[in-house]
Amino acid sequence: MGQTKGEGLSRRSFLRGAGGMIALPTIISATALGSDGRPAASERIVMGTIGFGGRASGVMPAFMREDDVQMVAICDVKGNRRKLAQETVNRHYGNTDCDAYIDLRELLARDDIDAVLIATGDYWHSAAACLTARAGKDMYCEKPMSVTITEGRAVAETMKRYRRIFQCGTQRRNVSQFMFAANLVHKGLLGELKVVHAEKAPKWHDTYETLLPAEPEPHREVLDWDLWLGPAAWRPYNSKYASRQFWGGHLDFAGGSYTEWGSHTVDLCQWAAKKDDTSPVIYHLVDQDVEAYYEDGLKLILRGNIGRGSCAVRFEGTEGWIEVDDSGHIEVEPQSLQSKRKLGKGYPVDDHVRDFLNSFKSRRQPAAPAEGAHRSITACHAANICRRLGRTVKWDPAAEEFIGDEQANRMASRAYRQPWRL
Amino acid sequence: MNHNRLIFGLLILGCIIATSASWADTGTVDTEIAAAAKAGPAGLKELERSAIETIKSGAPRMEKDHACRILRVIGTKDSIDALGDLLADEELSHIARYALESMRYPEADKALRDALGKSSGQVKVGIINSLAMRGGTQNVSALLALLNDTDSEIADAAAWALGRIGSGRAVSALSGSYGSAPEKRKAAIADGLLNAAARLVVKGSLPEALAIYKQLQTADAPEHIRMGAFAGTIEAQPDKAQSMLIEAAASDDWKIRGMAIDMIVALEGEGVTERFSANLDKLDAETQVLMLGALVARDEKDALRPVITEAVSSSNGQMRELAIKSLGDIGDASSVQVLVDVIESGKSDEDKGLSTSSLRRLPGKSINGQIVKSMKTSSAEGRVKLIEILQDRDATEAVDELLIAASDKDADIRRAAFKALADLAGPEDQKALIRLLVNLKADAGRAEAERAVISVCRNLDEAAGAEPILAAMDSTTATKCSLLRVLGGIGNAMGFAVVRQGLEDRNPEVRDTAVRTLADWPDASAALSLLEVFQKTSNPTHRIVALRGCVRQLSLGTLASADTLGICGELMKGSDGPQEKKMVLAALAKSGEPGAIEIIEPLLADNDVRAEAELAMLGIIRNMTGPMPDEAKTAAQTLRNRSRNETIKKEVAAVIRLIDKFEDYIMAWQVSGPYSKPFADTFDTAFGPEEADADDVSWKTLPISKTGNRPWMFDLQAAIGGQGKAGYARTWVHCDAEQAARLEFGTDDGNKVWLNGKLVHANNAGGPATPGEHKVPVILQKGWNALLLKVTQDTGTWQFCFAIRKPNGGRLEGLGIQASEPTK
Repeated sequence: MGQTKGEGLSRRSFLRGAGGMIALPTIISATALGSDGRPAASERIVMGTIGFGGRASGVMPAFMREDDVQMVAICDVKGNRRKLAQETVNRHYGNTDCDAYIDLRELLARDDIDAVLIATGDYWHSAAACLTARAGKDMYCEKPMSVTITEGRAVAETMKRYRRIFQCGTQRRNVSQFMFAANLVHKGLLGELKVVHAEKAPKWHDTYETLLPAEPEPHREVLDWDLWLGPAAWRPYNSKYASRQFWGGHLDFAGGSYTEWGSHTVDLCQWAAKKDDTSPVIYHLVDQDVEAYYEDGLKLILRGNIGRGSCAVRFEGTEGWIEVDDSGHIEVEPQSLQSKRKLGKGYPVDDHVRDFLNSFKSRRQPAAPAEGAHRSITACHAANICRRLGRTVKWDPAAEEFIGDEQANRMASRAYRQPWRL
Repeated sequence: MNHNRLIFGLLILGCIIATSASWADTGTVDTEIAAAAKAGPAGLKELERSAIETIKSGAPRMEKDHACRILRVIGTKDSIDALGDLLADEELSHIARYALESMRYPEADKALRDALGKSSGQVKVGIINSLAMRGGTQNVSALLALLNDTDSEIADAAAWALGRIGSGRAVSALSGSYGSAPEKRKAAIADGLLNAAARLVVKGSLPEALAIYKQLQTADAPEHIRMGAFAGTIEAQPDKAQSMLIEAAASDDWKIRGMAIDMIVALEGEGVTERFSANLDKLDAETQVLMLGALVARDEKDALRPVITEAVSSSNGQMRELAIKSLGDIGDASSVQVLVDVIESGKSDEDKGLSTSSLRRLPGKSINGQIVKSMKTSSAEGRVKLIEILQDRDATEAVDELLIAASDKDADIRRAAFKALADLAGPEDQKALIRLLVNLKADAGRAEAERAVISVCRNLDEAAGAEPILAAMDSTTATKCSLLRVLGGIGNAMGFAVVRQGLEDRNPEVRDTAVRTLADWPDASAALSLLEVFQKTSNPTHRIVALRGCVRQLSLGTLASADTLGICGELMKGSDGPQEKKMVLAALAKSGEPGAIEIIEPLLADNDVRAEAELAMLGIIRNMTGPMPDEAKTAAQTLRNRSRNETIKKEVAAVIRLIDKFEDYIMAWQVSGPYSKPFADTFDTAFGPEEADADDVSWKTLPISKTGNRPWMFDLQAAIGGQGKAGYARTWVHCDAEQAARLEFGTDDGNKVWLNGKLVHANNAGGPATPGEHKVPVILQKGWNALLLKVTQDTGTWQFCFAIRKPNGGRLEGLGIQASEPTK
């Protein structure tokens, strides 16, 4: 259906092992400091934030903590969130300079903005990312980058088309305990990798397409319902839709438990296995879980209840295994592989944000570029399709289509509501 | 009402019910299709027919919406006409495209094209977008006609769609209109052209792609279009890519420069690393580092190694740092001396630190041997660093060299060598290490040597570990003292007897060492001996050392309660002043025995120690709260009456209020977990606490919730946490005589209960913990009864409450509860 894959250049990513720990110089010199010790205004990265829900309330401040960032605009379709975001920015800088928008296109039309944080609902990520790239801006885009496979491919192609820096909000690629685990695999210390386990979220396993009864539509200043829906199919307004607890499991707006945590955990598995340019080729439904296999036989298990904390992954090789999660607890065999330094816990975003800003300045690929994010979320979408159809599906990662499965292929994409496009 | 409307109506009702309860239904479209599929092709056909009928009918909008969602997945050619009829409908156009866009039938293209003539504005834009997503040259003519539409949104959409299709005609039209297009339209056309060019590159039509990229590389084009076009010109000319990137890497435009360097990482072809590294010195300092970073990322180790090695001595600090760090990943045996030289005489401390780190992780079997060789020519300071590196690398093959270094005349080298030997030496090195310790002529390195000997001996059995040390004991005073400390570090019974004898030695240095060694004994074996020293010695220093050591060992909690209290009582009797009494009070505060309160109570009237005594008593009361609430409450009332400290009074009152809420529930537990195994059912899997011989099970006190009115409802989620896990709680119940009883408990979720090792109940039901939900008649034996409870958890809360009552449910008095295993 008109999709193209492959590139003249190989998709080998800019390996982070060599340069990652060294502060590589940035091509923009940040040495000219302003009177407050920050880089001079002309040297700062001017940013906007699109979508200010729970996630952005953590990530946007992380951006503002960086001296070389100046947040100048925010956008949200909800009036209360818009006001809160604007107040947050103004309070941080001690001024009243932050502009607030309902429509992301108005924010993106500003020539003075270099980059944006996209933290909308899941179903808006791809459309917003493509609009941002076409506006000539770089972006830190929250995960999952897409709600269909077609969307993800379009985002990856658009980023390449305009050579934009895209950092997916899969920040665990820059969190110490997960980096440690991936590094063990990369260095071959677990032997040949045989099985990778990715944890799915405990909620929203059973996704839904519920239609709620119509309620009176609020004033646009309170909530712009048409913009809230964006590329998703129209439905009459009901206040529950706009609650993340609800839309997180609704198929019009998200992908449920598989994409909620799989966007992190499958991504970590693919990263550890150096499979940022592919996805598993076959997906089996086994009870409540999905077991998938890559072309080389590596097995991916997408399941619940791994580890002590959230977003756990487990990598099993012929000579050992490791299990890590957000709790910071690390189980590793053999024990001699246990880290001698204290690793962190949780899933802080600061290093991932800094990594994006460094990439903005150097133009090198960040830790979670679009192609890798697309390939890992493709595995989550394929697993979801396998679960929803209740049968095995086969995937061709080169052609990016399901093999001999018309229903599965139709579920891999869906038309955007006008006027939105990818 | 037709079939589909009936289903829809039921689903709406179901949705309302489901959402009012939990928001989750089972997925309406999915479940309808799955149900139809069970009837085979005929079932699916019937579902399609029903959906078509709905969209043709006068059904409400959302019923038609639902029908289109079904057709999106199962619709055939038969549904296209009906869907096509909806395309011009402002309300239903999108949902019709939702179904049509992914159907692989040419008829779907035709339906969409036909609808272009019947639509306008945003509806038309949507149809164009769907044609674009479908691709295909058959749609080009229809789209070309819209490229200059007076509605700019339609024209922009057409440009985007043509670029996405990327046929020759499409490209030609876009190229032709680009130059004369208004500014706003130019961006849409450029987007289409870039899209088309990328597809031409994939197809191998490089000249055509190049022509597009060159057209877009005009100075007045927006930066992101220029960058995309510039990158494209390189991709479209693989034979010139290297030269172009070399030139671009020196561009004045920082974004072009950075992008070019980033493209080098993925550049295909032979000799890339060699060619780009040859041009390094032509770049400015910052760009050099980025370029080197890109070459490192290419990971062509053999070509890169000489470049990196040369960069180690660069005058550019960032270049050096990157090179030194990279050498740790791509270096080989020849890199060892390069890194050692930096450690010895690096230009900065950062360089030296990075070099040390690189040498630690440099891969390869021959590296340790090379480091040992380098040690021979290194300075004393350098040798110390290399020894530390060998230790970090677990270089057991370096032990012989380390044994030699351990007798070096340089004290720092000796210390470093002994430290490394503590990690790396094996049982076969025991005698050599003892010999080194005995032959030490100075105290520098003695502590490290002692630790090395201890480390080796701890891995041997008691006799093998201690005997060679005892054999060396007849030596100088310094050596004898060293060996006593070594015996203390090993901490076995054979060594204890010898150290104990040291208390009687004629040599005061040896006696002093013996007292201190006993005070430092790793377990509580020396507590009684230390009490004896405390009581009998005339040396005030030994008295305080013994007291401190004894209190520490009692605090380990490994002695029987009666023994601990006995020793504490004696220590208190022998204590001279407030300082000594306070130390004993600190030990007593950790007790949970009424006997400890008896020792403390007299001190509540002693002004010098009253504050500490009250705190200690509060500690004991808290420890007694779960196992013996009645006694704890009595003691708490006593303390409340006697204390003059308002804070203490408040704390004690809180304890009393808490105890009043206990009812007859068991309030003293230890907990272990969480447990899970991949693919294993947590309820059926026997984890460590169920295994009689498991020795790696760790237990901790299960805290009582101090908030709310149900302190007897224990929160495992707060105590051990997790999802889909199993947790265990254990306690011991004492009966004066055998008697019938009933276990009454509730758990969230499943449970198993063992009494004296026998499984007496198992239930894998989920749901909240309800007091008394489970009732299990049992016989309690005389004396202690071991009670073990397993609680599994799926999601959400994870709790339990547990009581032992009379067989008729009445309160059962006279039970003793103890969370820790009773001493035999």
